[in-house]
Amino acid sequence: MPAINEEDSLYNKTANVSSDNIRSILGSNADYVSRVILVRDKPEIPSVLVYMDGLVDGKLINDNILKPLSQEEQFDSCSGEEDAVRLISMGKIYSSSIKVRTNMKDLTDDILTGSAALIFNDVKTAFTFEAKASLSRAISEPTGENVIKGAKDSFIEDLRTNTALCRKKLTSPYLTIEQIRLGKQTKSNIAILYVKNIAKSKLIDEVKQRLEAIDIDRVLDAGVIEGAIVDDKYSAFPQIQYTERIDRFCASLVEGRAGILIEGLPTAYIVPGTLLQFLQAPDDYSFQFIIASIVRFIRFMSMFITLILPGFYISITSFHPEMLPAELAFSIVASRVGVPFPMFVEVLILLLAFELLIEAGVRLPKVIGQTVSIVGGLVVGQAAVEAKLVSPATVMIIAITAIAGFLMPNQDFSNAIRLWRLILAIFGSITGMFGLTFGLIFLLYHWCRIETFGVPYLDPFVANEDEQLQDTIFRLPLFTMKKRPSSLDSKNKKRME
Amino acid sequence: MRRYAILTALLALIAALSGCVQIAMGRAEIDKLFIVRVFSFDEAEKGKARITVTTKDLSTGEGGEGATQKGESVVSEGDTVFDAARNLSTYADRKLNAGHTEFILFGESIARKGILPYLDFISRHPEFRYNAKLYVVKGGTANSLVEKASTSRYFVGDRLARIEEHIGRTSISGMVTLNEALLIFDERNLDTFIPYIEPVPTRVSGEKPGTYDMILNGYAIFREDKLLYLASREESRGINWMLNRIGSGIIVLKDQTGQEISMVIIHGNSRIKPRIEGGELHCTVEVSFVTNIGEIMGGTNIFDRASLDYLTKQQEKSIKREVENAIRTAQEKDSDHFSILSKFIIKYPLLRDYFQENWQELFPNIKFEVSVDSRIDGTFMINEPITASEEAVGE
Repeated sequence: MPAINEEDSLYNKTANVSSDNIRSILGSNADYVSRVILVRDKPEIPSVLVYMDGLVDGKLINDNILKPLSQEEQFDSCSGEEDAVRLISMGKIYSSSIKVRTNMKDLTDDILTGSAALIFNDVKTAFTFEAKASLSRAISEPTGENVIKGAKDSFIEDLRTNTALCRKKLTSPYLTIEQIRLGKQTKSNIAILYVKNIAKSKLIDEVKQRLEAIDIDRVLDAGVIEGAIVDDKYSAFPQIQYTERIDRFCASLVEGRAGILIEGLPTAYIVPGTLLQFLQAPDDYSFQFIIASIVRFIRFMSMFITLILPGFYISITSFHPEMLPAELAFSIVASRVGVPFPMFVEVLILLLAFELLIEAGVRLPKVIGQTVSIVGGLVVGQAAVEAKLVSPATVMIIAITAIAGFLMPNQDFSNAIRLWRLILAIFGSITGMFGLTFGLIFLLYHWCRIETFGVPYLDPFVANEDEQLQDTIFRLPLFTMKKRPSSLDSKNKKRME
Repeated sequence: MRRYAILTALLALIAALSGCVQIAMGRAEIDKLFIVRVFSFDEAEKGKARITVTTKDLSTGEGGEGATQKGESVVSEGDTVFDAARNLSTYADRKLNAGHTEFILFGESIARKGILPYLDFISRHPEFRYNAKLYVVKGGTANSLVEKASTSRYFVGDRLARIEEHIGRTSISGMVTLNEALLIFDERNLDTFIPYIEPVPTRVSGEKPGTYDMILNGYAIFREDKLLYLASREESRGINWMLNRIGSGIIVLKDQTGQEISMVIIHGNSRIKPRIEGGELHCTVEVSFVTNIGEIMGGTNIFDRASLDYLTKQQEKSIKREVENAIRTAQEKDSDHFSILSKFIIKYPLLRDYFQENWQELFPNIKFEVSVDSRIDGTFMINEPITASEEAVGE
C-alpha cells in the first residue's frame, strides 16, 4: 500500500469525496474492491461500493448493504442521488454504524479500518458502514502470567474485544473508555480506561497529554508507548506495569490507576507503576493471607538474592574471606582447586552463559527449546566444571541467582534486576563489600529519584502519609486494606467502610 | 547528572579517607590464602618465638577420593612473634589469613614464662577473632601436638572442635575464649584459667603408630600471665561449679552395700554470695543440682525413700568436697580465678579501691561456706536393677 502523505491533496480534508479520488489513493492495492451499484437498478442513481477485501465481512455487505439497495421498495420513489442519500441517512440500510463522510480523509480512514463505503459521486457524499471481518484469535489463557487460582482469560490483539472484556469484568457505569489514534502510518487506536469516580482527573489528563504528545509513525509494539510516556527514560526499571490479565487490569483501575490498551497488542498497560507492583503477583490475593504473605516475603528476599548474590559472593571470597563460616570457606577453596580465573571472571563467565541461555531459549522455536536446557545443563554446568573453567561452588551461586530471578513476576523488572546484578558484581569486584554497599546505595538513590506520574517509585515505603504497608512485604487480610493507595490521591479514597 | 557527580565524589572521599583504600588494595582470591585454623605458639632456641600455623590440607588423596582432612602446617621462627609471622611470607606459597583462627595453642614452657607477649600480638592483629579458643598443651610444645594429633582422617582443628562439642558431658574442663582471657588479664588482681590438652598415644584403630589423641583434662591456672599449676580433673570440675559452668557430668557413689552407682548430672547451677561480716569477708557458695541414676553396678534395689535419701546426701557430699577443694587450692595458691573480687566490688562498690589494693591479702582469708542442695530426679525408666532378685522386688 502506498504511503499516505498528510500533504497529499486527495487525502487532505479539502478534497471532494468521489470514487475516482478514492481509487487514486487506494486503487493500486490488490485488496482494493470497487463496484458500481445501481440503486433499485435505476441508471440515474449510481453508487460505488468500495471496501478492502479481507477487512470486511462479505455476508454483512450482502445482507446489510446490497440487499436493501436492490430490494428496498422505498428507493423506488428516488429520482436522483440526493433522494437516495436522504433515505440512507434515515436508516434504510440496515447497519448499526452508518457514518456520512464528506471528506476524503475520513472516508479513507474508515475504509482502511474495516468499513465498506458507498459513494455517491454527484452529490460528493459517501456513507461508511462498519462491516469488520473477525480477524482476531479466540480469547485464551495468559502465557506469561499463569495463576493457580483465578480467571484464565486474557487480552487479545483486538482492541474492541479487550475493552468489551473490561466492561464485562467492571460493570460500573463510571468505567470510562476514551480513545485516541497514534502513529502517522499505523493510525493505531489507543484506549485509555479509568473509573471516573475513582481515578484522579489530573492523572488521566496527564496520561492523555503524554499520549497525544507522541509523534511517531508506527505503534506496533509496546515499547513505543512505554518509552514515550515514562518519566525517567534512562532508567532500566519499568515505570509502567504491563499485564495480560483482565482481572489484574480491572483491579488496578478500581484502585484509581489509568489503563492503556493498544490496538493489535494483547497486553494492557497500567500507570503509574511502582516498584511494589512489580513484586506483586495475582495469586497473592487468591490464597489465604498467611500463605500469600510467606510467598510475597520469599519473593522480596529472592529479589535481593538475585540482585546481590553474585556481587556478595565475589566480595567475600576476594576481599572478606573471614566473613564466611570456616567450613564453607574451605569448601569454596576446595572447589576452586585448578580453576585458572579469578572469582570475578568466573562469575562473569557464568552470568554471561546464563544470559546467553535465556536469550537462546526465547528465540528458539518451542519444539527445539528444550535443547537449550540440555546444552545449558551439560555444557555450562557439568563440562565447564570438569574442564576446570568454573568451580562447582560458583555454578551453585549463579544457579541460585538465576532461580531467584525467575521468581520475579514482571519480566521488565526482572530484566532491570539482571542489569543491576551485573553492575553490583562489578562494584563488588573492585572494592569488596564497600563497593557493593556503594552500588546498593546508588541503586536506592536511583529508586528514590524516580517519580512516575507524580507517584514515588518506592511508594508506599516512602512519602506515604497513611503508612499503608498492609500490602507490601506481607499481604495482610483484605479487610485491613480499607483505603485505596493514598499516593494515587483518588477521588474515592475508601475501598470499604 | 550533577547530583550523580556529587554523590560519586562524596563516596569516593569516604572511601579514600576512611581507610577503605586498604580494603580495596587487600584483594586476594580465597584459594590463594593460607586460612589458619590453629595458631600455635612455642619457644624456640635462644628465646626466640616459634609459631606454627595449621590449616586443612585440601589436596586430593592418592585414590582420587577428594579432599582429605589432614592438616597442613607451616612453622616459622623470629626474634618476636610478629617477626616470626612476617618471616612466614618469605617462603609460604599463600598469604596468611588469621581470620578463621579458631584455636590458639600455647606450649607449656611459654605458658610458664608468660603468654602476654603472644596475646599482645594477637590482640593487635586485625584478623584474629575474639571468640577464638585458647588451650595450653601439657608436657610439650604446641607444635608437637599439632603434628602428632592430625590423623589420616581428621585435621587437628576438627578434632579439637569435636572435643569441645562434648565438653559439657563431663564438665571437667571448659572453653575459654580470647576475649574472656584478655578481659581477666586486664584486671591485675584476677587470675585466669585456660583449658589444657594432653597428647596421649592414639586409641583409634587403624591409625599409624606415633599418632596421638588429645585429652582435655582440666584447667591450667594462671597467676597474672604465667602458668601456676595444672588443676586436676576433680578440681577443674570444682572450678566449673564455682563458675556456674556445669553442663552434665558423672558422680560415682557407693550405695549402702558398697556397690557403685553412677549419677548423671542433668542440671546444675551455683551462686556466689559475698558479704562482709564482723570486718571479715565471707562468701556463700550455693550449689544446687539434679541427677538421674545412670547405672547401678550392684543387685540391690535402691528405689526406696531411705536409699534415695542416702544417695542424695552422698552426692551432695561429693560435690561439696569438689567445690571446697577447688576453693582451698585457689586460696593456697593465692589465685582468684573465680573472679571473687568482681563479686565483692559489685556488692560493695564503695570499697572498690580498698579491695583492689589489698586483694592479695584479702583473698586467702575469705571465709567460704559451701551449701549444696540436690535431688535425684529420674531413673531413666528403669526403676529397679535388672539383676535384682525377686525377693527384693517390692520391698
